[in-house]
Amino acid sequence: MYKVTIGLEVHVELNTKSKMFSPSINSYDKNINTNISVIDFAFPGTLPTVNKEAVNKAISLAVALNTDISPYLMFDRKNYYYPDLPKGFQITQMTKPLGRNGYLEILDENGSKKIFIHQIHIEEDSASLDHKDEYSVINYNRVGVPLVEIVTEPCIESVDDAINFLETLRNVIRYLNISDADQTKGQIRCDVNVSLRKEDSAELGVRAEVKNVNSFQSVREAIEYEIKRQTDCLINGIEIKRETRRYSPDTGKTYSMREKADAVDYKYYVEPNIPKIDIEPSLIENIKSNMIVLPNERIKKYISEYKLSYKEAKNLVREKEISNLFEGTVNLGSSPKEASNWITMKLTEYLNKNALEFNELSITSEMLNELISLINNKTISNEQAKKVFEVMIGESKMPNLIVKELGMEQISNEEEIKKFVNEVLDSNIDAVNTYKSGKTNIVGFLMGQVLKVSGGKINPAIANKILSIEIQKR
Amino acid sequence: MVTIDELKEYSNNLMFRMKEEEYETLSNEFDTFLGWMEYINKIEGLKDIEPMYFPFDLGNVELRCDEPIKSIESDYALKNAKVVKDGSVIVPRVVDGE
Amino acid sequence: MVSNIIELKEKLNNEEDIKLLFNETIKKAKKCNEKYNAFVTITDSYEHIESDSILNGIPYSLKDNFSTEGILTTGSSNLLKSYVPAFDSTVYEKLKNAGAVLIGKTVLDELAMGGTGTTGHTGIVKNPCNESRMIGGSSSGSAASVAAGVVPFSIGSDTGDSVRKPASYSGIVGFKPTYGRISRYGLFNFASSLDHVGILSKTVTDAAIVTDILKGYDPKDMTSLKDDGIKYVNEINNDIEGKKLFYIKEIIDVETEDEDVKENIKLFYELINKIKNIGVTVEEVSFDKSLLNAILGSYYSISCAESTSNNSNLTGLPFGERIEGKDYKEIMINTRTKGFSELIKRRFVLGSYILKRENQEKLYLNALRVRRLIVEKMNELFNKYDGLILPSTGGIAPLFNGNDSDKLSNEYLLLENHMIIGNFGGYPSISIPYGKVNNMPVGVNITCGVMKDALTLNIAKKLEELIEYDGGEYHV
Repeated sequence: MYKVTIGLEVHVELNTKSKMFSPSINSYDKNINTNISVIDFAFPGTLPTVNKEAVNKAISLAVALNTDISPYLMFDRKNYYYPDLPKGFQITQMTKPLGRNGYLEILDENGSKKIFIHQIHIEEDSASLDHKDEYSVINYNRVGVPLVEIVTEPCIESVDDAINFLETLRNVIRYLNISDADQTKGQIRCDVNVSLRKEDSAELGVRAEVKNVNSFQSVREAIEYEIKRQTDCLINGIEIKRETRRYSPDTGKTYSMREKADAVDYKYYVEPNIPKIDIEPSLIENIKSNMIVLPNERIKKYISEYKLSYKEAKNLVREKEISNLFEGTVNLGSSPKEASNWITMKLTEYLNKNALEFNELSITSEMLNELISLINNKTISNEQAKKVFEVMIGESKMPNLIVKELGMEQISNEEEIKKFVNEVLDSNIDAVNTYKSGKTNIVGFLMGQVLKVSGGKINPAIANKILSIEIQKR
Repeated sequence: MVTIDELKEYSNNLMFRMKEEEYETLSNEFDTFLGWMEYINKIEGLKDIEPMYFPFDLGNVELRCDEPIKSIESDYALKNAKVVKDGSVIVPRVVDGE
Repeated sequence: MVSNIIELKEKLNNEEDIKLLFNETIKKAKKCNEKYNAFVTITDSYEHIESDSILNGIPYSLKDNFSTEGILTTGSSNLLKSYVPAFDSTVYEKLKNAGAVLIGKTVLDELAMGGTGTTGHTGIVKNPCNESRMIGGSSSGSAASVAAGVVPFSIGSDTGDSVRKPASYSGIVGFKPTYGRISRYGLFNFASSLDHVGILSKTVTDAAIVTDILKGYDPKDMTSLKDDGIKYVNEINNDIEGKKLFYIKEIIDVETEDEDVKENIKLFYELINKIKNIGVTVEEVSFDKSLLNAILGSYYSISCAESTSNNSNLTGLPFGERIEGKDYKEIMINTRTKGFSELIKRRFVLGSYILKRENQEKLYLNALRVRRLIVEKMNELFNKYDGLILPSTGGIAPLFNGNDSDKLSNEYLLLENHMIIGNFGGYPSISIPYGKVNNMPVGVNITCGVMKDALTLNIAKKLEELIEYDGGEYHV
């Protein structure tokens, strides 16, 4: 009956060492006013200076999002009064944003979609307010932190696509190493625009803007609530107002903040203290040619070249280091399927069980590749491999070292295995007789005994063969 | 023509009040200024000219290297702040959306 | 006297001499203040860093819109009447390191937004040449402290003519170098694309000496220029025979009843003849009158718009004379209502009106377009000529008679406002005294093309020699 249209404005804090327009420290700090300079306080006479690294990082994102990049940088002032804005204006980009008309592809089991990017621009963050009962404390640490803002076209058509877009974008950002994009530290924040229109209508409905939604879960909830609220309005003939709303994570609802968002005139004009900055085409070329292969490209490669499933591929690219581990292991000779299995199953299980993040481990492609080789050349069994894997990660050791230390080399020598088999057969006459009476299933029990008596070291396939032969002789 | 009420709204948006009698003066100044601008707007071919934001092209501008400087001590930075509590400047509790 | 600084320097043989000079100067400063109200703050403790620079031990004053760590800096505004900065402006840092000795911070028109010397929060500044007359502004106290013979130089700021005009009104030299030549870091922003640091002194040589010390690239100011590697003091004595100057017909051909203006123009033509006699070409050039008439409107638009935004940091929160309220809005409103004078508020309202979304095209961008037209035409002329020469002002320093000199009105001569051209294009521009009209000094203004600072000072020095102005000795 109604189609939803979603537009997103995502703010990302860059992980530079210093701030966007001031040289003070850019770092997350729980203590108040530890990363500040006179420029952050907007003392009279202070002037902005542009952070080169922040520009480079922003450009790399603009490239990754396939935008048309402006040949020069120009900044503007967005003027308004608020306690978290010491200058009384924010330096942002309005006249000539860094990049325009790009897209980000999102993938799912069914295929791919392009989410169009209206623009990407550079700006600075404001102070944060710590609210106490009677008063609010202005924490100046966040003033001037470099921000990149990504604005989509109003082209997202489902809440799942919206979340997919955000997750894909966040992963791209992390791959590019321009931000940690940690929600809990406020390093990635969203404004969500939602409108509804009749199925057959080409015109977009009136939109509500929900500001500062600070986790992807909240984005989902806010959109779902808005869809419900606006549907209710439309069904009951209540006018939907063009307004700004606030999302409350406690209730999962949105509340009206102010009407007529258009009514605020920020009097944008060109920042006179920052001259035009040319962006050399060679810089962009350099960034393009040195760009890391991004998650979606990797997913496509894993599916087409390595014949993995979409689900497996998606799992592997969830973190750059995991994807690099996978590719490194394959490059050393392991089969993609095996490498994938170890990573998507055993490794993931290990991380979950021990409540660890991947970056807390020291596991290398060499280790994983060697482990897989040891299994494939039958030095160890699958069972043993599981143990070796745990030690490998836990102690960050090469598998063959572990195998030696634990005396785990699998016994493949037929004569030796024959000894164990006959030992077992000798001490399990009843079982042998059961076998001979036709109940051949008992061979499972006997295999278990052979494994036990050999300390699990025998090669099961060979043992099975020899067991079948020897039991016939009895 | 700008009305006195509009002028009051503008000054309110700028976070100050003016003395009553000043609005009359300001209104006259607006008339003068707008007269000047009307004259300027009649200059031929003006809309095809690129606005001049800087006095001249400064050429290759150097960007700042990403090395942070030592932070200024909060107490020292805030020695001119009249109302400080919990380590920084405070204002009456701000309600979201104000 | 070729150089006040060099004369003083010859008497300074050791630290004791420097301290003695300091004490003497402080006494003069206090007297000057009683008579002319030039200072907001007079230094109360002797501070000197030994240096082998030419300015070592030389006393000077600094306009009170330059940030000085630990020393009150008010911008002559009540909102900042107790503001003590936590950092130094680059200008102050350089002068400190050159061994110059700060005598005091001088009065300005509030936040540099004025041209009369009457709007500072500590009261009006009187012209040492005649106490019933204004000294102009906004670098009012700076000019007075030099004109009254307290200090050999002062540092001011020039956004529309704020160094050159008071210099002209008080018979001293006022030099505004090329935009970005001297770092603006620490100078309160008035209109950032028009603001320049300027030097006031008794002689051209002194202006050159001080500029040499202050110029240079500052990484803290993105609009500052790479140093041109020229020592100006070495260039000012070059022969200027063969140079070509021009003046603008539409500015000088003025219909007026004002006797002082008529006399000034007469003096100007006499000077032109003298200049021609030393082998310098001076030609009259015609300039599009509609563009000239657009100068003042364009200037007001750009400067009010930029200054409104530049002063949005003055809310009382991390600094300033904060007045309480029930919420942050009330605090800001109360603080700014009490802290700003009515004049400043009127300018801000105008500035914010100009920047409204629906007005920007006609009121702001068109002003910037006119700026480009004027500058491009001037650049064409500077390709043909070495410099522009005109009387710095039409009339002499106005009387204090309670007239509405601060209110925008249609009464103006191009002759009173042409120096704005120097700010539009960032051109190096200087005013030097060249005579007396009605017993008050008048100045002549020389402006050259962008980056031609050495040439500007050179031409001015040669004219200074030609003029032999001797009416500059006013003492406290």
